[in-house]
Amino acid sequence: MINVKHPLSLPLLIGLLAISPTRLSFAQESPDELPSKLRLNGSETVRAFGQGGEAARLSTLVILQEGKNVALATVLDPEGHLLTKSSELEPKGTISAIAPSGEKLEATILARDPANDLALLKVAPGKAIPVEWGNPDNLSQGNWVAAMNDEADSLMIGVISATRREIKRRPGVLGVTLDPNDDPDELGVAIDGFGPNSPAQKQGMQSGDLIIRVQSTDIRSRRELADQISKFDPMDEVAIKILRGEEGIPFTVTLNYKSNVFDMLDRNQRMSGKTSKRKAGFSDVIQHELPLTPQAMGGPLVNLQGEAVGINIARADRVTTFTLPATVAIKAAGELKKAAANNARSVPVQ
Amino acid sequence: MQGLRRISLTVVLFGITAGTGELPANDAPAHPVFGKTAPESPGDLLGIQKQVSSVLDKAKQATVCIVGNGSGSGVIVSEDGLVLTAGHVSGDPGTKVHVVMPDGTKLEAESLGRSTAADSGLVRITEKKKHPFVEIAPAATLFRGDWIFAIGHPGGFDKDRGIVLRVGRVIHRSTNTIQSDCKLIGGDSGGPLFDMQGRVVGIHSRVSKKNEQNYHVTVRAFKRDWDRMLARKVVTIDDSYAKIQRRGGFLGVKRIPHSKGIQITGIVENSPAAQSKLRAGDVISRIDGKKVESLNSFRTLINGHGPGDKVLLDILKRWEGGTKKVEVILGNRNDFLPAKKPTGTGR
Repeated sequence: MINVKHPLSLPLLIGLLAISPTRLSFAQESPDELPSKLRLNGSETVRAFGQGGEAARLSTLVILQEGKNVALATVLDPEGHLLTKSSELEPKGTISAIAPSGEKLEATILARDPANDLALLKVAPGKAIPVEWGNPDNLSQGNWVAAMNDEADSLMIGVISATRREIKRRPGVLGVTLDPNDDPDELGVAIDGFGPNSPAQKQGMQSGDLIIRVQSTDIRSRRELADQISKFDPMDEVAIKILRGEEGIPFTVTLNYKSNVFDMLDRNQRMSGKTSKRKAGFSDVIQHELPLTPQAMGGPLVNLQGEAVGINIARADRVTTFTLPATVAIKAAGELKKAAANNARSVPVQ
Repeated sequence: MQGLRRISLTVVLFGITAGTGELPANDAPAHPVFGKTAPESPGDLLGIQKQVSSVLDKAKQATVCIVGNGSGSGVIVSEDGLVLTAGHVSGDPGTKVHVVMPDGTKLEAESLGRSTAADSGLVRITEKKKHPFVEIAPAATLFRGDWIFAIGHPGGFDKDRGIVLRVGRVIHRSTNTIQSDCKLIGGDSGGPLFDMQGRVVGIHSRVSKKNEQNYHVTVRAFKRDWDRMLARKVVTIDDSYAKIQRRGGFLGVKRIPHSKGIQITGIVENSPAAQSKLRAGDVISRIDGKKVESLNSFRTLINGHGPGDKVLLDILKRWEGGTKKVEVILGNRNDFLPAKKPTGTGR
């Protein structure tokens, strides 16, 4: 028997959006319910995707860093070039890959493309079948698509769910909350508190510290601080000077993703479970409903014909996954290969 | 223990609201996939895709964002601008809200009534003009396994993104609630769930921990409380129970299924059952000679008679033993229902 709790109204800091979470407590599937295998992502329904699903499986590799699943990758060519989601790969740590056959392969990062959040990897040639690209311009809302989830042999299906569009950049964050009564005419802004995983707190900043300078710009108001910080991206290093009592202290803070710091305070994000830390700042994305994990980014999204219409690039929330259209991915792959040939570690940012 | 109350009530309501005389639609989608347990091929999936896209545009035109108590969704169901939404989106009757059309046009609107039992709610667009709208499906035309689609404004209105689509199947349906594998999140609440003919079959209400298991209010729950919600009432669980209108006569027994019919578990005071000396534990095995095979068949057999009609019951006496034929004159249900509690905050 399912026990559905009454809709809750939680006091919320951010994101007052209407939907009521319920909790379910049941030991097993009720005989009154549609059996799992017949549901949208049940085994029988997924099997109907047929050869298209098999194409996705054969062109998807699992990427591991230090032995942990971090992403999937899309096979570009018989030489063993792969594309994956760059921001899931740490700067350091051994990369390996698992081929569809189960064979474990060594992998190296050849170059990164921060604008599209893609990385070009290389594994031994001939270990997987390159994707056959499809035309993303032919997709419309409601078209079936499929992609591998991060577990082996777990194809997920669903539909294109919304309009293809740009997702605006989200700057990095310090992870501080500021004194709302700060005097905007005086030098410095007082730190009031810290968000979870705050990089500022990690560096040793304290409540009550006055932020007086970002890089070489003096800070008088909360507005000025926000303007300066928002010039930087997540993982950028920023020089910050604070005043603690009479003492001026310089810090270097690596900005974090807004998601990593403030998602815990956002009701929809809490409802969504784990999502990609980078889910914004894409010039062009396809939106679909496949319930993929953040570790399943980087693999191909295929249409019913098994053509790759794009590369999954961000798990955004409970109902949203973003995919870079094939056209964008193909162009990026070309630039990345050029950069790798020139021994550059990343493509120039336009 | 609100939840338990809701569930037990649901069972009762399911019993007594069946058979309102509405017929299932006969224009069911033609593709063979809709007659199958599960799609078997890409062609079957394509059949679903084509069916959805044939009705999607019209469905989207009538789907709105409701901004007031946070941000939710809704769907227009009449040309003069009546909007179905979730009760926790419409909020208190008389609340001024805005309805945002798919193109971003903001219209003045006002909350009417809602049901705290089912989480159904009505909103009226106050701006006088002809609004795009969709049809509401007849009650109880949706079944387990049916293909459906959900649309709404997850996370609030976003013009560039537009209305967001999710496709899925009915996992379970009860009187008040459809459970589906259409994915929902905050902001979807109040948005419409459609059948393959593009008729509204439910309104998004709640999510579970599992991503692909979410809840929608049935149109049956809306229809039950329709008049009172239009009259700006807040309908509670007790009201919903008292509201049930039945044409059938009233016997006055609480009951559970039994291998030989239905077993009486309680007797309503002064009811025809009490006057005929029926007791808890007795089993009703036949009504007018017809075998009672289930709770459903009991209800059907009793409902075939109006107040004042005589029925002949075969009773297996639990305490005295043996079988007894008992003639009972059915009563009028309304004479036996508990007095209505005052209804909410209608302003």
